[in-house]
Amino acid sequence: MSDGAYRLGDTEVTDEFAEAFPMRYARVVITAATDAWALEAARSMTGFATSVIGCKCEAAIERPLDAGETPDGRPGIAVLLFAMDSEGVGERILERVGQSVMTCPTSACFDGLPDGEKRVAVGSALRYFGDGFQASKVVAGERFWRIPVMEGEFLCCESVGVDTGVAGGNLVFLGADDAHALVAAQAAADAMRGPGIALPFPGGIVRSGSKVGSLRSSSIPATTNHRMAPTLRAQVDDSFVPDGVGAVFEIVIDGVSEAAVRECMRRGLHAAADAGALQVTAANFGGDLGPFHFPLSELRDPP
Amino acid sequence: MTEIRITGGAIHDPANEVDGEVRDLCLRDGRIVDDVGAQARTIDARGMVVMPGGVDIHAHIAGPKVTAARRLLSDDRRDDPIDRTELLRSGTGGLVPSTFATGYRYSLLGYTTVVEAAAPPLAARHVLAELRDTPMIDKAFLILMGNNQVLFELIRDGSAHLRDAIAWWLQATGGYGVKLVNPGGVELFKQSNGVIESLDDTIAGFAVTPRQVIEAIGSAVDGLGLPHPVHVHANNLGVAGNAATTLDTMRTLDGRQAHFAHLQFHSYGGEPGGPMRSRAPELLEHLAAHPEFTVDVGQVMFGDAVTTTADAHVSTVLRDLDGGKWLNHDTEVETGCGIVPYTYQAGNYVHALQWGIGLELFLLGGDPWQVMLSTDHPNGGSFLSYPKLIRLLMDRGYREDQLGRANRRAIRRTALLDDLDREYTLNEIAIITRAAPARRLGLRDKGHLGVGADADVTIYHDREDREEMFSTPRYVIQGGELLVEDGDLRRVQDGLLLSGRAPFDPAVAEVLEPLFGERYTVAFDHYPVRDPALREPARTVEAS
Amino acid sequence: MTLTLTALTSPPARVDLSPLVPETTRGRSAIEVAGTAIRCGRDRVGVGELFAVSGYGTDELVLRGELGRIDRIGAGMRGGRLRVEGSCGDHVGARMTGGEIVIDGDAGAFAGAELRGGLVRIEGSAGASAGAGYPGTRAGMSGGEIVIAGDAGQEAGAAMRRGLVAIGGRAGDGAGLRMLAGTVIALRGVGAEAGMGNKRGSIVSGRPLRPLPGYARAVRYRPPALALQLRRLRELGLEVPDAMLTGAWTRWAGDRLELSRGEILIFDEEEVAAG
Repeated sequence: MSDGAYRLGDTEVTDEFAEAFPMRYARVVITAATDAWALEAARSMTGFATSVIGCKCEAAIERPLDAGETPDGRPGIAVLLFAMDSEGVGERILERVGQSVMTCPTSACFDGLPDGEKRVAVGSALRYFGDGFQASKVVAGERFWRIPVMEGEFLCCESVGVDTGVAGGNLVFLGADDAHALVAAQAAADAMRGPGIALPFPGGIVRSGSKVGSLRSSSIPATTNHRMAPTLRAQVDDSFVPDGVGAVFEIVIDGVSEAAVRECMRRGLHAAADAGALQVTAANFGGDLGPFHFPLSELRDPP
Repeated sequence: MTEIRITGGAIHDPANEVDGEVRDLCLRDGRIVDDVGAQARTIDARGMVVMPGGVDIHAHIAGPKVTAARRLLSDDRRDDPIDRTELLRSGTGGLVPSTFATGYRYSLLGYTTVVEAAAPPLAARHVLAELRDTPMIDKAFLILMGNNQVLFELIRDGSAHLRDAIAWWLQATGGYGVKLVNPGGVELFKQSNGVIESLDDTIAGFAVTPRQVIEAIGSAVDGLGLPHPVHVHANNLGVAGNAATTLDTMRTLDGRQAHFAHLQFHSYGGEPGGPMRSRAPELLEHLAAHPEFTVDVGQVMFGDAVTTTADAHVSTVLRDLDGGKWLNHDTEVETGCGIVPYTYQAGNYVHALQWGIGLELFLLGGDPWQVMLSTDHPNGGSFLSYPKLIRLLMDRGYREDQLGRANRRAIRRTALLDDLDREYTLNEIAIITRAAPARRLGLRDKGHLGVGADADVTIYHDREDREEMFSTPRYVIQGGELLVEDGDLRRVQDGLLLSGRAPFDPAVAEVLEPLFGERYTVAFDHYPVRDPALREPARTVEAS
Repeated sequence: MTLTLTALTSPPARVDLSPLVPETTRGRSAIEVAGTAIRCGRDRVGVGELFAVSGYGTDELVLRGELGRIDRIGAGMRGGRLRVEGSCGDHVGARMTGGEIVIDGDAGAFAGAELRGGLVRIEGSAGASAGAGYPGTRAGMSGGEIVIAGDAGQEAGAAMRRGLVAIGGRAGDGAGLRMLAGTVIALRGVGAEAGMGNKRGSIVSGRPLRPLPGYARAVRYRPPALALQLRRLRELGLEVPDAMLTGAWTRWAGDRLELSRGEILIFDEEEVAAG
């Protein structure tokens, strides 16, 4: 083991670090008549939003909200959506609120980031769906649009705030076989979700970690991370998969701040160790690309 | 007896060809005199500019339409209350100030004579009563005669009594001169919501045309030798392409004295309903060839205004543009009236073009004796905006700065971007704001500072910022009395009512009475204003 | 101690107190404030002739005593807090743009007239034309909130363009007359001829009513925006029954003489029972 590596129980923690980048994000609060409908809208809105490369944004449910926490007193879900710049956040939010929230029975849409440094249009653009029949109301200084729909009215905040967050934090979990590795990754994902955190991949977990570029073609932007693919460890020279490891999973973390990402990683690391991961490591690009570094060596203390 | 000696000021008295000469000016008993005694009050005007008091040849300050505008604009007026003081009556300001406030504010602006340019003769009592309550300034009013059904009948029949009838009307009302507003067109609008397309259109029911009305009344006023010639608000005000109508109207009056009001609103090219163009250069060219004509510009100023006009049709057009509150009124037999609050916006193509055309009329080389300053208060803007307008004319840098704020597309349609470097001199400002209007009104005692003239004098600080300079005169003297010092009213006095008069054959009453009986709800005997109190204090200016 | 003005006597004529707002009294002593000229009828008098002044000017100003003839309290105010301990005259908070006025008792006519922003809270009832535009005004109130715990007189919110007039009790006749937009809510119902000439405004009646013929019944539904507004009313201290937050309202669209884009929302439990 190198200097920064350590063990947590039976789990080896490597002397690696996750490398992350600033990204812009917005928080949308979706409410509905029931938890279930709020969840439907949120799932739809955060679907196909796993990586900014392939989906133009990364989005996930941040957390469910009690009726007492939402502007209209109904159950709700907070969603975080990340993109490269605030224009991108605006475009994606508009598409997704328009297609996934407005369309969902009983839903309403609110701004979860009222103090964001920038604002992007939501209701003020979606209102045109009202074809001139839309109306607005200002409540406590904030404007809302009432868009008439077949069910009744879709209520949507005029705009949402946008702030700068941190995207690309990650943990990589290695296990003896696929089942054990997944148990560890799932335990980690469950521990990692929370305020300020989005885990954009399905269930929070990605099994097809990628590398930049291709060994064979210059036209493919990303290809499989062959060094972490256990089936290839016998045929590539530079495999990272140690002896005894049968499967690898990764969790990618987008958070509202560096601290949120760090604490999220700490929770995940310790949960994975408790769940029997053989090894936990992190992915980076050598450290020169992202301004945020999260060395696993700093996460040794439990949350 | 008040004697005043104004010492050391630069005198700008273009009527007497005095341009900035530094000398004393002496006033006694309301007149300018050669000299005054040693006991005379001395006003030290060193470093200051001395001009005759301002004369406004075309404004709307009294009468039923002004009152209607006040009633309609309660929201505007209440933001500008004027407190009663030991000296002053209370009132309201805004775009259409109350009567006393109108007098106070004109005086504070250095004006000493103002003409109400459109009074229905039927409302003469109202006009007179309001003018009597408008202190500080001498005032006159022009009576509306371009849509009078009785006159239509006389004109149609080629009656020899037309001149006598006009003179009778002035006598009956105390009016100063004769005004035509959209001649024939208001009647046509009242009958059938119609508009004049050509001066040769027939006004239904009367078998007369606008051209006949213009020609007959213009000739009659010219022939009577009234102090002020016929004052014409031509047909098709505000309509794209109306410059053709204006030129046709001018041609109809060729060779006779005439004053064309707010020419800016009548200088448009293009087609009705289509995009507007400027035809100011062509109209100025026509004016240059016709010294018998004068105009006032009717500049629009960006900001709030209220259109108050006898041209009732125009107000229906503006109402449709604005969609807000408005008012339209019929004055039986004689005229109409419309009021529409209106805002001229720098970014609006039409408004910017109107603004630009007004400036073209001022700046494209016209003779200042022919082209006088007005905003058609309050139609193009309040009289309180005159100082800003003066600055636009005197200060090229300021003008270009303001040009930059106006609708680009509109300004490109004017000559204002053609390196127009004209800057009015103080004497030219004195011409367009006092000397020329007084001369055109036939007020021989006003608009100049020669011995014997009325002691109406305004003294300004010679400030680089001409708007500031003309906004707050240092002293204003009217009728020989010092009324304003440094922006404060120091003395209140009634001004004179100026009436015009020409001799006429009293037998005209026998012609008019039956025509009145057929049309007016007012008995002929009750029509003339007989209450002497309404006509005093007065000065009558005789026809020559 | 907060600057406090206590009325000494009932003034000989109505008083315009608008020169005294936290913005103008801040940092001034009681003696300075007592010397301020205010209008009483046609005359100007010193504040000290009508009020006992104590304390020192801060962001808050307190008025006490018989204030029924004191008009234009807080009119045009731009910020700070003004507390009226008792009832006051007409035009309280008229055209104010920011800050908060709290009146423990009743307010006269034109309370919060042509409000631009800020909050006027009346613990008692308000006279006619609360939050209304003055005669001749095309667009009246353009922002802010007026909360009246008791009843409001006629023409509450007339000509308003934006903002909220919230009435815990009942609104008199002509509520929301010529409204351009904005919201008038009366939890115990509105009087006759509500919303005449209403263009795009919302009038909310917590009691059944038969709207003017210019209104047409659309539907019973749960208006999501109203839920937000009613929750706001609770924040502002009005008692809103849960049933109004969760229940259905009948929407009437009108006035058809104007755009037909305004609405009257009626909480009519009877219709529920019947349905």
